Amino acid sequence: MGCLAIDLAEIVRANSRYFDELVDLIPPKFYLPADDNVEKQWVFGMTKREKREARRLTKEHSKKARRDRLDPEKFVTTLQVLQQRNEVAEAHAEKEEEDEEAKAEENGEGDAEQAPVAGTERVKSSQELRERLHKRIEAIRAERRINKARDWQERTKDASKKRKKSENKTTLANKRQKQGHKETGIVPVSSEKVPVASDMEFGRVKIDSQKRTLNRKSKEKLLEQATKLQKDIQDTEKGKDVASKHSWDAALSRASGQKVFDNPKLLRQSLKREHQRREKSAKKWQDRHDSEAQRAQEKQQTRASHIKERIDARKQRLIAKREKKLMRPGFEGRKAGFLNEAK
Amino acid sequence: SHETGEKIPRSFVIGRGKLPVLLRNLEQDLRKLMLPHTALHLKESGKNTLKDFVHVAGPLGVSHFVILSNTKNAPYMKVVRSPHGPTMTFKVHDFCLAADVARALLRYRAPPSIFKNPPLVVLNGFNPAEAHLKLVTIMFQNIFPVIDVKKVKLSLCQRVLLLNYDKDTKVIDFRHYAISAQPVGVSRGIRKLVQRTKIPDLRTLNDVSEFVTKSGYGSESEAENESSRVTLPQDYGRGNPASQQSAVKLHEIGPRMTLQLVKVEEGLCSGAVMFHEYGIEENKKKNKKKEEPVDDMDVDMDGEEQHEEEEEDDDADYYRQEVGEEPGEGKRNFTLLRQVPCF
Repeated sequence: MGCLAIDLAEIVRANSRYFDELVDLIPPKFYLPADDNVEKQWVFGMTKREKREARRLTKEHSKKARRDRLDPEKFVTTLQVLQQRNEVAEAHAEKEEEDEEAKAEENGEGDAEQAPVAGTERVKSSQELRERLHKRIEAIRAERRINKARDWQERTKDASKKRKKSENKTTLANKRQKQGHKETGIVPVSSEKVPVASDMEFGRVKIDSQKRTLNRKSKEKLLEQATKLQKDIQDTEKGKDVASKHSWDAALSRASGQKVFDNPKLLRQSLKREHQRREKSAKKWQDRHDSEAQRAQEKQQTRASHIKERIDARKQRLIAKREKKLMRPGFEGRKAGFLNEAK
Repeated sequence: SHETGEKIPRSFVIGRGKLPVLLRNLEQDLRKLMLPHTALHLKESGKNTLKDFVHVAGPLGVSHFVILSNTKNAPYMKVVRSPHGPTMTFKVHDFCLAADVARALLRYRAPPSIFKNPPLVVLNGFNPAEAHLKLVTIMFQNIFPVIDVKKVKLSLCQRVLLLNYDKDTKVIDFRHYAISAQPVGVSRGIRKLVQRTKIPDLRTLNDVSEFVTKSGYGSESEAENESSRVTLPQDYGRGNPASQQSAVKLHEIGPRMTLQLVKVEEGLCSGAVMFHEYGIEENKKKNKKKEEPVDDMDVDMDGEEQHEEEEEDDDADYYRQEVGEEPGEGKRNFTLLRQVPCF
């Protein structure tokens, strides 16, 4: 009989869970009865202002309700709504009971039964509470110990990992790798390796910046090489082989963007052009250099003459000023002496 | 470029001779393919010779030419490295324009923003042991700028050019795709919501959960390609953040071509023939013709001079060889024989 009882309880619980889940699937609007607490407003008895106010309130309420409905944080399932409503109802019921009791007490009816029951409940509950508190403290302490042990284990693991990493870091290759992978780019994720067919080629990709070509040979050397090549080609024995090999090499390097200097005529032209350019610039410099002394002298001359002019002009001005003072009517010029003076 | 410090290769796509409308459209499609480092609105007149283009290319920094020409048999495409470089001549067996591809696909997407960055290039089946194939790979790899793996932005790699060589038929497939990435492991509805700017239409749904669960988890094609899934090292557009799995999808844009390498010459449409599909011995007459003029002509600044007659002779010889009759004998001279679009 005892076994049966346990099974029954389980069955009942399972069924209740199932029904709860079903209920949750139904939106509360369809499952729960409409809230009776909401009063239906009697519209006809209201003034215009009241009607306006009511309309505004309903609009606000509906907006708020819509936002709450769609807000994921305020999401409540049907069951929760049901529970809330039940709680509210209970609160109301309790309040009503209390009111009734108060009324009854006022009326003179006292219920002696309730007080001791309440007292024993209170005593029982305090003991229970203390026990519960102790249990809780023990549980927390146990958890703390477990967590501490786990943390300590992890810390040791991390330390060993770090040591291993530092060992790897010090090698030179890894240093270079680190440098290379500094910028984010299409560095392929190491875990995935896409299988590529062996004869598939892709566009040109620049991975490492290589040093530029170390030495560019002078044009004279290139000319020598080119003429030598021409001679080899003319040589009938191995000429064809040399010619074909060179043409393929040249074609491949030209296609990949490198310049190939194999035409002696063009090289000679370019040498000549460079030579002419140098001569021209040397000549320009020489002319400038020669004319420099002359130009400097000319400039000094003009400068000196201008200065002299200025001084002369000043002197003339001063003389004229002095003379102007003596231009009184009847006395032109300086005193020339008495008429009787012995000359 | 700023990032790699190397010169960005620029190109001209030009047509020689009178091209029919379809080839002119193909020329325009090829220009779009080579964007941004090409002259999209290059104006060429019939009187311009190759020499003019070479003279202009120097100061502008243009390094490659792609030249389309037409004969009764088939159109030909030459890829040339500018000043003295090798010339590769391809015979175009079939081609489709970008407009044909657009009409054939349900959703053709080629927004102009993807043409702001150069395409990636992938070559398959080019055995590097064979010199002419190696030259083809190097040429195509260097027509587009170098990618600095460390500094490049993954979201700027939006197009790809695929070249596939079939060694039995010796034919090269030329395809042009746009790349897009889609996040993996989310339902279609959420994926679209994240990747597009469009707000979804929830009119017919009762709840947002329906929107999430409607289209099922995972798209239909997700089971297909495990190999197209990659972990992105950088963000790629909307909804594809770094270090998350994304599926890479290709959408075809742009022209399709079936090419066959016919000839490789040493110089710019001149010089010794290094490789000929139908054997150098048989075409030795042409070789001799080429070598003499180069020595006798007045050497220009670059040492190159192109005569219009030579080009026409070249085409005439081709014509003679391919078709078996003199050019100008058949009823309609120089018409394009375009085959059915290939899918």
